[in-house]
Amino acid sequence: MINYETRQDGDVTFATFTREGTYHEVPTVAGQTEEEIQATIQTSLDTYDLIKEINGD
Amino acid sequence: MSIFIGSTEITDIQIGSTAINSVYVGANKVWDRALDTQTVTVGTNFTGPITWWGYGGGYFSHGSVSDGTSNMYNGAAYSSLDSFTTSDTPNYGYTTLLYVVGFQPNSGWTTMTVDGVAFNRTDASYTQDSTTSWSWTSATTTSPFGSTIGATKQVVFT
Repeated sequence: MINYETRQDGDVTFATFTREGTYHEVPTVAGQTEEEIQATIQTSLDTYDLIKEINGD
Repeated sequence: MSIFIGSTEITDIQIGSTAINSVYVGANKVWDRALDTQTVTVGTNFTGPITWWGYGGGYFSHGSVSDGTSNMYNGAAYSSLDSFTTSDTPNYGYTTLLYVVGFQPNSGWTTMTVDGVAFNRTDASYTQDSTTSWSWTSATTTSPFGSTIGATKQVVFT
């Protein structure tokens, strides 16, 4: 469970949060449930972590 | 979006000495001046279950980019203009990546178009780090860079 704030960018609302000192923004879709937003955030973090792991970071 | 006279793409419109940044037909925007244009020479790499197509610097280096520096971010280097899939199943889904060196803001451009395929900035997950990243997870079923080593693809930022 990621605690997040929101930021508006035009018509899009980003979920914003900092994890382990790194700042993230994930776009949300109007009408998404909290469970769906958390799933979107997790997918985004999985992609980020995967690439960091491959890079050896 | 591109506009043409015959087969010649219009990349610059001026009225007198005034540069025009956008063209509308009625309420529809049909053209934006490019903020930056990069040419990617497509490379590939395989890292475990992942297949990459495009340009990636760093540990899993492949392909190349020219000129490789961003007009939107004061000449910061592009470290990836890339795509990958985690499965060899056809049409599984490709994630497209933009990486720019340095702590960059999530602003300054609207759309990245790779060989005619548009990726909106506000559809991307964004991470601000020593290299800042934008990722469009499984946004396409094939790589926007194609799958031909050595092919050149235009990446246009508007």
